[in-house]
Amino acid sequence: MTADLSEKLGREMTGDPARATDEQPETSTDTLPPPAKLPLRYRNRFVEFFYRLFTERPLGAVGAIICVLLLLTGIFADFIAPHGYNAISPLDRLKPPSAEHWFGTDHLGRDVFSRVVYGAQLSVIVAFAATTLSIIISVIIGLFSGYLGGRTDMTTQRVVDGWMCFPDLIILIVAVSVLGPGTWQVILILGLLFGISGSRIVRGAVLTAKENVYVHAARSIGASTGWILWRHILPNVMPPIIVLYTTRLAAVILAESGLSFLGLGIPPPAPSWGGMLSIDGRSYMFLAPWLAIMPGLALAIAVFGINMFGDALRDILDPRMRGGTGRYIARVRKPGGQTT
Amino acid sequence: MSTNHNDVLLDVQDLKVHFKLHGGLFGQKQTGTVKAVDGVSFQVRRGETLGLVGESGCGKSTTGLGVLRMVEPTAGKVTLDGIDITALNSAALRKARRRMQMVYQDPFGALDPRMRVLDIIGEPLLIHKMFKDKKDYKAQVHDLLERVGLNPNMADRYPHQFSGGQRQRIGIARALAARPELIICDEPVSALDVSIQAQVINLLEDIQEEFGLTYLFIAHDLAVVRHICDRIMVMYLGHVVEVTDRDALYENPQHPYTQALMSAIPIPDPEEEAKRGFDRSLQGEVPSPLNPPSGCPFHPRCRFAHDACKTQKPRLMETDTGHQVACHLYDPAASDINAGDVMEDNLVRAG
Repeated sequence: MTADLSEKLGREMTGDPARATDEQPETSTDTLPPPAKLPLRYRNRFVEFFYRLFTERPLGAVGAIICVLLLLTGIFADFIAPHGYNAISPLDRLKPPSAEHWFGTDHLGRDVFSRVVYGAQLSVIVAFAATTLSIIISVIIGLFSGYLGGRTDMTTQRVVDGWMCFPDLIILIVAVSVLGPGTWQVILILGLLFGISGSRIVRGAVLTAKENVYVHAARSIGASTGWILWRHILPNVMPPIIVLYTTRLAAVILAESGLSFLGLGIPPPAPSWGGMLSIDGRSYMFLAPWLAIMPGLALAIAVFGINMFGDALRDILDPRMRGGTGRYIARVRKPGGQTT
Repeated sequence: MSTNHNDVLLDVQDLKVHFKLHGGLFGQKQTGTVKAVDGVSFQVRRGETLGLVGESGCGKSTTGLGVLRMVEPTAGKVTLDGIDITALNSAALRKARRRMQMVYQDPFGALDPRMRVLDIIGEPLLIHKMFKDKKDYKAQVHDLLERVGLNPNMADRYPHQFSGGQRQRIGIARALAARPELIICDEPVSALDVSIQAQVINLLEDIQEEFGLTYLFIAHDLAVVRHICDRIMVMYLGHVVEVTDRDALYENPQHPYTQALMSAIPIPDPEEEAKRGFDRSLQGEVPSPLNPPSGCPFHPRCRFAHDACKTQKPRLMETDTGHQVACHLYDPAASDINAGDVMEDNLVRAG
């Protein structure tokens, strides 16, 4: 029975041209058109990911390139920057962009290009550290609060409510005045701030995910709570977490700039983009607009790139969207009856 | 019942699952109790299929969940092959769950969309560490896929790439993976097309024979139940009303509720349908389990209800060999009307 059944089922599968490409050759050769250009099934996942990023999400690919450039700039800042970020040259004050100083110089004669490059380093460090910290906090709070429910959930959520009652800026100012300005202080504060508010998003996703029959099924198989959280809940709440990560990444860069702009972030002369916008950019805005434009542009491009990449990442990592977002989405029904 | 205790695999004694309803601002007040399952006892013998039928909301699914302790029973005792399931702590319970698996109604929701079929079917193996190495693991999963009539090459796919019937096969393969003795099938075919239903039913029968499985088969489709079950238990509002062999139930339903159920099976012949005589179909709604009727839970809808039915709960008692009914009509101690009335009706129906 099983033999002819599988044959029957094999034929059933070939009725769908988008799925037929990876079908057993003996059933797909006779009537079907030649396979469409789809990534090979057993191709390396990593290769497949980039293949799909570039073919299906070109804007995401641009974002990815920007992210990579940002990272490389941060890592190799010492080699890229032609001058030290703090090398003062009083004779070259407020020079417009030129061959020697690509982005011009500031009021102390420091090379703006070098400072923007070093600023990337600082932004990368702060952004990734603070965002990672915040996501870890969000996921831990969200998973346990959402999955365990009941009293745990009730208590946790009231604490989160209380925390979210305070305006972010007030918390930041208080925390900075207690801890003092500095890089790790900014990381800690931003991580905590974004982590706690982000836990709501994770919890919401967990609440939906845990009601799925497959979670019930895993329990009936004999899975422990930890197993279910790790193998079923976490993977299924990844899309919102990835989006959260990328939007937070951009938001942290902005927040750090904002803090530095207010003088609460990373103290000068460290080359923070926000600090450059504030101290130098604002004072000399009309005299030397490049002082504000260059770090501002760097900030905008970085945030744009991260957001685009994050969007593409979420779409590609979702296995239900395999084979292209536009191509077979109409035919794929998500469990629970929603259609994508 | 003449049951040899050695071949009873699952023994459920007086299982009760009550859900407490809470009200008030902080949920501190108990406003009511839903008696989803209220004192259900039955045995499932090794290798047999016990059908569990009844209308929606009668507690048949909850009974299945209570047996697995997916829903914590309020009272009662569940014994699987001599192990008291209700007395286990959570770690021991997780281990015991290997021996009783579940097949779900919804083939779309029961498989994790982010896992490959390989990992879905292999999950019980991973949890209970039932494989030697990675190769053995893959071989076991491929073997399971073949057993349920799927191509082992499909192991690397995701659930959304399969049809409903195929997903149900994957669900069955997962249940088989842990090499269980008991499989609780919670309406395994009611979400499938009729043509696929037959395939899945046949598959269930095949693997039962092959692995010597025991099924607790929860369903509302009486035709399916008649096909696959050896014995059938009819539930109404959290109570067992009748338990008997398949043929006895279909040919000689004794409880008025069972008779009503049987008369609801459509006959694909209008002349036969007309010959069936009077309409036995039930009037009214199932009473709310939040506020169940006194005495026999069926009495407000029963044509034979008399005074005793309103006050006394009927006990489940044997009328023929292996045929148990919970109805005052058959209880010589409690009945003041003649069971012959009901018998007569049966004759009318049969003739």
